[in-house]
Amino acid sequence: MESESRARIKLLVSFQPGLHLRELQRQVGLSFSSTRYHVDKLTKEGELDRVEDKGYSRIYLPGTDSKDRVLQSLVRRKTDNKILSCFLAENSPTQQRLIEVTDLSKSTISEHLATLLELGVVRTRAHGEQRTFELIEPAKVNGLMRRHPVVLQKATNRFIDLWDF
Amino acid sequence: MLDITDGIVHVLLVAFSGIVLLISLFAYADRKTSRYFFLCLAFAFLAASELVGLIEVWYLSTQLIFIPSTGIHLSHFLEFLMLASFSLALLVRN
Repeated sequence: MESESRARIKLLVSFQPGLHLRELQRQVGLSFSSTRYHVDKLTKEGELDRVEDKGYSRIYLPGTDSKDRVLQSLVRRKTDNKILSCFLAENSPTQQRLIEVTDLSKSTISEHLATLLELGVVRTRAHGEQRTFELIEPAKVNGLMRRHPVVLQKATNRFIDLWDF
Repeated sequence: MLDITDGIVHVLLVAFSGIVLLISLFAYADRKTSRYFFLCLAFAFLAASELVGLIEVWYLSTQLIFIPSTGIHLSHFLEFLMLASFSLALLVRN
């Protein structure tokens, strides 16, 4: 039974690297403490990596490239996901275009763009007075984004939580 | 005579019950337990009941649809099945 749960946890993490503990618990169908226990054991045995990321404990398979981890973590954050979706739809948007499409404030966009530039996910180009931004690896980001239909997934998770007693 | 406002309300009822049914199906696909199965069933009966209501308003000029040779209003019977499914979802062990 224990090995079955751990195999399931590893399988879920391999399909959805960067899952956080609570999300993993929902999907695996165990209690939170049991899930944490199994994840701790697997981490100690070197079969999983657990990384603290802005209040979330994210889980990866060992050997995941640090740049891949950054991308996997970004697509799971609501605001970054919104901005990355805009990059995929618009190719090389300006900051103003990002503000218009995402409906986020200028300060939020500036802050997230600075982080994306620092992490090496996005690069900037100057066109006269205008500055545009583009993804360095759009195909990789696109592949990760397609796995997460955010709204439907969230609604399903909430539905599961509501009836999980 | 079709009341447009009432018709729109019925269309929205069918649409929303369809969305909830879809979400419950995803939840069942995720968990595959009897509780989520009964919840899917309940929301399927709700969607069916709303669809019957829409057909009554839209095509039959609010004439009721009855189950042949029983005298039971189909929409009420579907609502009964929905409540029975919800009760089972609450009672079964997850």
